[in-house]
Amino acid sequence: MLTLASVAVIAATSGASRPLLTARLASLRPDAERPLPVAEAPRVVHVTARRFEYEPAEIHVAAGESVVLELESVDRRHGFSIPELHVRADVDPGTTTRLALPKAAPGIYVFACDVFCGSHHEDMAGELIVD
Amino acid sequence: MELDRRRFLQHSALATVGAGVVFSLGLRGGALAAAHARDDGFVFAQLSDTHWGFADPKVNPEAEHTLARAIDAVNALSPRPDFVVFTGDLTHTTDDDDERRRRMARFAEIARGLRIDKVRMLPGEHDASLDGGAAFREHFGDPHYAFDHRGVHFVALDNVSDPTGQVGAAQLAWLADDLASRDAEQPIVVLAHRPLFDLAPDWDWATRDGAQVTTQLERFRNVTVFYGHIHQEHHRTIGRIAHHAATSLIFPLPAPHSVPKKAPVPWDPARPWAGLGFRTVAEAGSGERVVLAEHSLARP
Ligand SMILES: [Cu+2]
Repeated sequence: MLTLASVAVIAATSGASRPLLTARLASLRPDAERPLPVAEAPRVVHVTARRFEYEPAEIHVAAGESVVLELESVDRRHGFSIPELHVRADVDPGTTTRLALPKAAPGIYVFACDVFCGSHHEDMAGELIVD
Repeated sequence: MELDRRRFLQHSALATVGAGVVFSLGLRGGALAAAHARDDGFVFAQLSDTHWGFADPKVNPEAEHTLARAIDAVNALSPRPDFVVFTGDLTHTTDDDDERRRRMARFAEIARGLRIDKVRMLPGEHDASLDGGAAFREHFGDPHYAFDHRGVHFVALDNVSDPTGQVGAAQLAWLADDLASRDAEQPIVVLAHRPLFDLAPDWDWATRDGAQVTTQLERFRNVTVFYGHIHQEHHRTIGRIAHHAATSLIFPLPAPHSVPKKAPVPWDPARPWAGLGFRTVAEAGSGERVVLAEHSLARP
């Protein structure tokens, strides 16, 4: 993970402008402890859909964490929708659908099936919990 | 027949079941609507979400009698509605296509007890989302259509035969064509099963391309949408478009986001049929006013 500290180290190896570069970065990014997003490898969370549930039904992510869901159905087409975050995907048997979670403020976001799949379709939901 | 507000209140009070709660929308259209003036108002009834075939005695131990009770109440209305619309979920879903057809046939048989000639059907996702609307078409014909009644243009939209809860490109094009030559002053009534706006998308209370429908309706001065799906009365006006959800005839659902998890409101033996009912809509003369009356199946 690339942080400001490691940027400063790289800068230090490249020449004489170390104090200047460090100072400029620090002023541009006062929240310098936060990881720079460019170097993050997303964490992959596998989610299985079946009538009428998701496994896991609770997905925990840290605020600012980069997460990709790998969605797969074991029976028929379902949907995976997080209305509040404006993302959705079809979830089919036999294929893995990758869905990058948008960065969201800490909180609980409901995800639900948005492809009618039978008598308990309305119950097919879970929670994305951003800590 | 001139249907003024006073007379309409009488009509509500005389209803045989429940007490009609009158929800007045006030004036609409005003003088400009006079271009479409008709000196005879009319009433139609909206019934919704009958879910024929649903079986859970804790939720509705009278499931086999609730539709008949509603039909008796509609037959007793005075003045009589010109027509009745059922806004979807006529049947409860089943994975068995033959059983779906049996439920639809039985529903249609009971609905023929209405002593009203014109009855219009719309599908809900329970009727049409698992088979693309095939069984519905066999029993009731096209799931989307338009008709005119005494100066009001009615459009029935199908936002359920596509299991993703969309109207879809083809129907949007059909709607654009249907509306293209119409005067902006003509009153428009839209019938649909799912809400056309994002009422509670995380509860599946939305239509994914609903905004593409309402955009087409924005140029009209008098647009009223009557829908079902959410099993409760609900009223919201967005821009110039008024959206009204109807109660169910099988079980009520909680108000949007009022509980963590949406589930049917259980039957209360002390108040049988509470929360179940139907609506009458009075289009008063000249299309200037629409008055809703909610008729409960519960005893007053
Ligand atoms: Cu599903």
